[in-house]
Amino acid sequence: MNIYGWSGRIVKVDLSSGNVKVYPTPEDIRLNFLGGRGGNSKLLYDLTDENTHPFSEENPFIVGTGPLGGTFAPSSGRWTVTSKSPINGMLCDGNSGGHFGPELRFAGYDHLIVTGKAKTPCYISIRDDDIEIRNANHIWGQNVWETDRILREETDIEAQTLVIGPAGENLVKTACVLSNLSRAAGKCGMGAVMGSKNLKGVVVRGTKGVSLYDPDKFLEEALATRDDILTDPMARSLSTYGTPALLMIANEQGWLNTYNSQRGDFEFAENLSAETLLDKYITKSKGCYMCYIHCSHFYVVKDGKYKTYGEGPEYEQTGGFGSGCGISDPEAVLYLNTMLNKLGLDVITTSRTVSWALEAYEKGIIDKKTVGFELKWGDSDSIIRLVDMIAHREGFGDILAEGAYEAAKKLGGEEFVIHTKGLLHCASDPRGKKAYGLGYAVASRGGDHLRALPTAEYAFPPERAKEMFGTEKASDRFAVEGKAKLVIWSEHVAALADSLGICEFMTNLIYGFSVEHMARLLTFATGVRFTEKDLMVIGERIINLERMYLVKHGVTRKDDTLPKRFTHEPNPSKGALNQVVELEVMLDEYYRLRGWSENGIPHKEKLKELGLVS
Amino acid sequence: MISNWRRGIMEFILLSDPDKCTGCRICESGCSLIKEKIANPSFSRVKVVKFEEKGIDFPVLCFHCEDPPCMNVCPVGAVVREGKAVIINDERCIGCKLCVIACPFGSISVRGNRPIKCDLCGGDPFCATICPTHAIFFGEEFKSGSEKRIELVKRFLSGERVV
Repeated sequence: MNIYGWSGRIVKVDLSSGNVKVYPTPEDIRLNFLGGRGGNSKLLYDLTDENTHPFSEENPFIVGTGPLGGTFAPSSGRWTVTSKSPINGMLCDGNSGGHFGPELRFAGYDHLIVTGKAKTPCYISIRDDDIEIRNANHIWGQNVWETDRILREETDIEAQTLVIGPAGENLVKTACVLSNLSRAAGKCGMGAVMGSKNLKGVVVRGTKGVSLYDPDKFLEEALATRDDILTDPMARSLSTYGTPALLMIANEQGWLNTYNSQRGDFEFAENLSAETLLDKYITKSKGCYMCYIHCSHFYVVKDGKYKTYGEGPEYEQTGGFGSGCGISDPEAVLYLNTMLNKLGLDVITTSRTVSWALEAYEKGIIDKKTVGFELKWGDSDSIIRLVDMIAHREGFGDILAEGAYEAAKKLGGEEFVIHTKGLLHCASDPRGKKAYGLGYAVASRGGDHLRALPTAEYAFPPERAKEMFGTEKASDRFAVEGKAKLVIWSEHVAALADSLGICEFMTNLIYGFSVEHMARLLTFATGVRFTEKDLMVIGERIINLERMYLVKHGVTRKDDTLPKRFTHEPNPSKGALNQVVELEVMLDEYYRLRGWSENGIPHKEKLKELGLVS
Repeated sequence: MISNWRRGIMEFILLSDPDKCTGCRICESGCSLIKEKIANPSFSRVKVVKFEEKGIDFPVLCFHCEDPPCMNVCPVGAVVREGKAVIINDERCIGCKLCVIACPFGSISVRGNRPIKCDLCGGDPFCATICPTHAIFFGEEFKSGSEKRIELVKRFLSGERVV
């Protein structure tokens, strides 16, 4: 039987034995979980349990692409890596764009599973059907950019790579994996999982492409989807400025991470604004595979102390190392962006770890003796020095390399670790947009904004909010009413985007890539009929499967929390003055609507309904 | 469509502008889908060459040369000119791929055993139609130059001197 849309094959590489196995993608994964994040989560669920250690040979490192990934569908360059989390020992994944995911599809694979541990550093080379495990002794220790260059020179200059830097090799818990030099699958420490396997990189070159069931109708639908994306009100801003445009909005609305979220606005915000960046440092727009929006940029700092160049930055960088750590010099923020990409460190969790250390220093919990030098908000040079120490686990950096959550357990200052389930939050303060608060609390990989990406709470007009979520208040960012329903809907759509291999920004920020478009594109790609309703059930199934995985690890309501700072300390900033997140009210409603118990455990009927238990 | 290939004395040409290219490769995916009915950049007539470290994205097209090496080298006269386009006549082609070797730009690819190259989509190149930033455009030779000249003067006026 010919399979369309999906590549139809999974490749499993065991680094301990050197065995490579290629087998058909099970129908259950294709039809019930689609692929990408959904397929990865299902594979992880089946391959591991609560006793699997994140750094053990049994823990799989899974790369997943979706059935729309690498096709002509708009923004179809996304891919997901999944594993057990070095941060909290539970579910861990990272989603990224660029060109790596599509290339894996062109080589003919839906998923790549890596298990075991190589005796010496190695990399995996995939050229269509030729798969090799190769020696990487000579590359170990190299930064991400050098590694990418060497791997492509040794294999195929047109290949795509997925690599780690020194941070991943050193098992730093905030290490990420990168492709195209700066496209990171960031949070949860996926880089450390690769490092624990002695796996420096994966190189892929594919020439097979993706076969579509009805190419003509697919093309027509893809162009219609494009038109809806480009006419969305958010399209122009995202296209011109990218995510850095959020910084000034956040600053005005009081949800900008400032001084480790002690405030929601930054006195030097103008310095870091998208306009400033565009005016002074941006040389061109950059886009992921098949993206009409191209929200990324290339920047150059021509001279001075922070001379650098690279791709980015995102809002998480300007809000993380910028306002989050109090750095007002945009050149230092850009320098750090390049530095993190080369070292293979995640922007969000590393910046949150550093800003935790800065606050701890301010509060006298750590001092010059602990760190080795003075730490101060906005002191770029000491922050740069600290980041380098984290990546190489030098001195105090060795403690911070475990992440702020573990560091605080040792040193104190746990109350201002901005995390949920050990995973540090992004640069959006939920006191200024409450659906985000609920989203962080229930996200299956721990404190994370992309599980829900509930921008509908400020993007939707009141009428649409009422129609979809039952109350106009759902579009009031300070209200709690209707937020549970809004977050649930957003979580399902985001799970679909991640599992199909398309970009959440097109579905949950720009709303042009609707579920209806997804259903039609998927039907024309695969020849299997999917409706909008079918897809929403799949979204719900993925969320519940991930929840069950967490429940296996002992997660209940007690873990669906926010830091005290967000639930008890009133926001001092004008745009969200005196706001706190009323989490418990939203949680009650969320569990009820989800068909989960008051304690956050899915009821058996719900799991039956979704086909997750018999 | 063929009548679109010139307006007055101005001829239409397909050109690319690396400054505008974001490296998204929509052109590659679209070309392969419309020409080969599969999403596969390997079968695309246009290829974006990327030097990620320097932020360079350069769409390399068939330039439909005035004196095409591919046409000159073809032993059976299968490479012919149709209007502005240099195309391969599939019926005459014997699959020797000398044209692939002769092309100085690497603009002719291979699918299976046959050379595949840009035919300007009969006068309305799909890659130019779908490029979101107009980094690939199909238009009058005259206009393509004038746009750049105007841009240059704008930059001059804004104080950013062009080296």
